[in-house]
Amino acid sequence: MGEASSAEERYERLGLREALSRDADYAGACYELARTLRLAYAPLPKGFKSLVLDDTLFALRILPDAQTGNAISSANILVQAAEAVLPKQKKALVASEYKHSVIAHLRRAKAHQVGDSVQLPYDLLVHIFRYLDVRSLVAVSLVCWAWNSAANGNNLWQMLYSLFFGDGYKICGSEEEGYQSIQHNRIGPERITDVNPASSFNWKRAFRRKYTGNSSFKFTPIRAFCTCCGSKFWFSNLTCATPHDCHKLGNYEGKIRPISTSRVVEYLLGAAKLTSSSSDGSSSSDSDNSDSEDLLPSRARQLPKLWAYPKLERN
Amino acid sequence: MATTGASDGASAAKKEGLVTLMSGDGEIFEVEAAAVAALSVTIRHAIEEGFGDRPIPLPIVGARALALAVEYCRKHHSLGGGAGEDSAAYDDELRAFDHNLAKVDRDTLFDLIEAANYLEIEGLLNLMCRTVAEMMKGKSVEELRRTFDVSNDYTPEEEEEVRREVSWALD
Repeated sequence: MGEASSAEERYERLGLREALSRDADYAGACYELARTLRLAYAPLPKGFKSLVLDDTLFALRILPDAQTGNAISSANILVQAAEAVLPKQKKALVASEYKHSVIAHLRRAKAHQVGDSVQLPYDLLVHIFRYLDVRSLVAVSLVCWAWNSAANGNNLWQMLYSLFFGDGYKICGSEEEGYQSIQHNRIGPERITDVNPASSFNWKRAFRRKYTGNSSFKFTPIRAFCTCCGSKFWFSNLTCATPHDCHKLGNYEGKIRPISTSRVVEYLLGAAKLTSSSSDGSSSSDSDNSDSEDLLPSRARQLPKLWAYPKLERN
Repeated sequence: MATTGASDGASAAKKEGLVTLMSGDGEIFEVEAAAVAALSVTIRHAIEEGFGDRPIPLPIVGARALALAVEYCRKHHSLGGGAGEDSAAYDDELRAFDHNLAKVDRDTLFDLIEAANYLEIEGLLNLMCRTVAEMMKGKSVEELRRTFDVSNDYTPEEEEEVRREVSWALD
């Protein structure tokens, strides 16, 4: 699976440039790029260096289009990394690109004028929120009461729960709720339906308990992988509307787990392959990896078999 | 399907295979019945109930949103046979069309969502909802309020409380 690939090929496979063009992934991609500059720039060959430099300049050039405020701070992290490792001339290139972009970004942010408030009804808000990842879903719940109640919809959290932790598991500590089995209520990606209104089970709380119980989610994940089939995702693409049905049972710890940025850099440096053989749980799923990829949302499909699966810590 | 017996009296210049839609603000659209009926459940039902030779009133759909929705139906009917984006018929041309259609301002997006919901055009509803969601992703709370012109109706204490509740996901 491409273990012998060059650093350039591995870098291309990370799909950073496409990610930079998406608002939702801009900050994460900047961060990965910054880490890459710091940790992998010096030891890797020339061709690799010019790819990374290109993407760094590209990231700064499109900064004015990135519509999030943390875009500037992520770009700033990137610039600092560039200043730390790049030779003088290239450093100047980066600095001037950054300066232009910050000015343009601020100008654009100011130009946005507040108009009349339009509000969508509850069910349409819920429909929109199905396309949000966990972090964004939580952020919208802070906007106002109407959004809060839509973002706390039990169905949304039930779908996210099954996406992250699978359907067939008992919930950690669920005894206190006196809830026996999780109802298998797979909701099709295209329709909102009211399911089991009788259920008073709080899926958000259950999700939160599992999520916070897993320390690997602590550091704002950028990418994730499925422990069952090994597919890789951008974290921002893990939403109710793009369910990942790999039809395989995960382990008790849950299905979806984050990939740390240092793992990504290790992959670039070519070190990750060292762990692939010792990675328990992945060897069994290697063989039938290809069939499950067909079920992935198209974006995730563009990221085939990136690197060796992170080792699963079990305790 | 909509054309049978369409020739009685008042309806002016009724052409074969056309159906008349009336937007909430009173504008009249003459469109191919087959195309809109294939994509919009609401219009299909209206035609089946004999609205075929009278204007179908669409009270909450504005003219601009209706025009865009009709354009969506036409394009998807002719290119994809009304199939959604999961189907094999969803090719590059349709993808490009959808991509361009979604490049409208926020208010039009919202209007289109409400229109698609009322007309029950599932593909259009999903497309627009996903577009709005992409605009929400990665934004801070203040940016969300600004982008979508939503006023904060929390009291400072409530906001503090809600923020504390979700700190597990945002830190």
